[in-house]
Amino acid sequence: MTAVQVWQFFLSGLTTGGTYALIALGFSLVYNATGVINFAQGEFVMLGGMITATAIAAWGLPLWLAALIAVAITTVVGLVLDRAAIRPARHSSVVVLIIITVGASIFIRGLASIIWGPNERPLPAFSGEAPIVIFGATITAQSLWVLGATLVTALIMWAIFEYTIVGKAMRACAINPHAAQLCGIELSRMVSWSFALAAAVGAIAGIVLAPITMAQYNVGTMLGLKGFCAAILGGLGNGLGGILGGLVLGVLEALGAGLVSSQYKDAIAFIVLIIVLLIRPSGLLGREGGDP
Amino acid sequence: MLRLTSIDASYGRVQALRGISLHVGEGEIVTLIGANGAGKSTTLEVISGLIRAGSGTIAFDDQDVTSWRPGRLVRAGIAHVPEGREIFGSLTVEDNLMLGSYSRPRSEREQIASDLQAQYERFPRLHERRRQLAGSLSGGEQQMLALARGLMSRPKLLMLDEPSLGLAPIIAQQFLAEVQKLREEGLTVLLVEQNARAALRIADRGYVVETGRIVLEGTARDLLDNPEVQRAYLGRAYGEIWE
Repeated sequence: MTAVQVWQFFLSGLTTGGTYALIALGFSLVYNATGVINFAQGEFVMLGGMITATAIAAWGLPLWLAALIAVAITTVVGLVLDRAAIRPARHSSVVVLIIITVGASIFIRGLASIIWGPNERPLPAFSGEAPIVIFGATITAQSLWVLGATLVTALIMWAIFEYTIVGKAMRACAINPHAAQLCGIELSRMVSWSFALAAAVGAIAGIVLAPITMAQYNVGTMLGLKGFCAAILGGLGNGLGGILGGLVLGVLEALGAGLVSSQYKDAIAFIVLIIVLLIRPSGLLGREGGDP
Repeated sequence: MLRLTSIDASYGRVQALRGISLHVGEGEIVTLIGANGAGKSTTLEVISGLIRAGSGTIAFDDQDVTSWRPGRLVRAGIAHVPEGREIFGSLTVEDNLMLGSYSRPRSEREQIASDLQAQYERFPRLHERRRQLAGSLSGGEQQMLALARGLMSRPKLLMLDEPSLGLAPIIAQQFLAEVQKLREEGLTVLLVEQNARAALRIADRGYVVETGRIVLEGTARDLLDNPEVQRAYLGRAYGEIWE
């Protein structure tokens, strides 16, 4: 085992980690607004990839337009999920709402398998297949797209929550929904916003990831669970924590798969999840309570 | 300005209000006094739409607002400063104030900016600390912030729930003096206060609430002189009354 190999695993881990980070961000967005773990988050990722691939292959659209359409449609799906499934049950307990999201996830996946069938949809890499060598390790240009998209999306989210009144209103709802209502903030509207943003972020992750892993109707389940592990690792409800958790998880996975056995690649995320829950349930950056 | 007629309300199975009727006239300071759990806070929560009335009607500014949601009531001009301040501790002081104006339309942006300056002039401490997290303020400063946040919605009716709770007596006095000043500026105030004596001193009228009912009402002067009120809420011993 050479240092270059470890470096190689580290870089490819960062790439997958970037996607996990975006998915974790989606979990935190909905969690902060509702206290609900949205297990349909992975399906947003699947939709992002599938719609982009279809729009390019079947409709002949350019990549940027296909990606835009994919984000838009997925955002609408997120809003519909809120309106049709979450809002009618908003007076139920959080556990009931979480089970609803599990059901919604199965429903969306089923619908996707009817629309697209079981085949994988290839999506060409955004800027060619030529590998890039960084200090002896090679990564694809697509990896840079993943990391770039993660960075830009995270910055946009940060700017929304730090500088816009809607972002601050969403934070206010997470801190104290009672007082937020007394400021005239409509909780249900903030929940809609959070689902829309979570869906958009998920779709972005799916779009940049699709050229690496291929899009398929059932990729959402595992990606969603990995993103969930990343969110827990970073501290659920903490945006920065989710990003960090995603990157750390991606690197751990790649190192584990490379140094131990690739058979255990998927198990590593869940081992990390169990260890975090046992040792530090609030996550790397999480605090007690749900304050973002 | 505000009129409640036979309001019933409950938390789950527990009936908290039974036939509450009261009114607040424009420019008045009206206080609700009563023991803990009598239903004073619930009354305010029903008015601000956080709790739905089971029956009865609420009228505000000659409109039936009984089924209105909190956001709409804020826009109509009702500000509710809740018990325990409930400021947004991990946001800055200025963010808290700006969220107070959340219900106002974008077109009022300049007006909102000048209202913010007005609050800073009213409470210079908040101006000094405008970039700090609200959670780092002292209790008295947090109460100022909660009041200023409520005022940022430009209310006609200001409802204060236990504003002096947990404040040092001198700070509580300053706070109530501020409330009097607000009334002179044209605001109508509905005040819930565990310190009945202090509340009745600044109020025009008062209602005594017991187990979800209004058992007594009158001018502040009458209530201060009423032996029952003195015995139950103003902390006078029985002996003094009979002497």
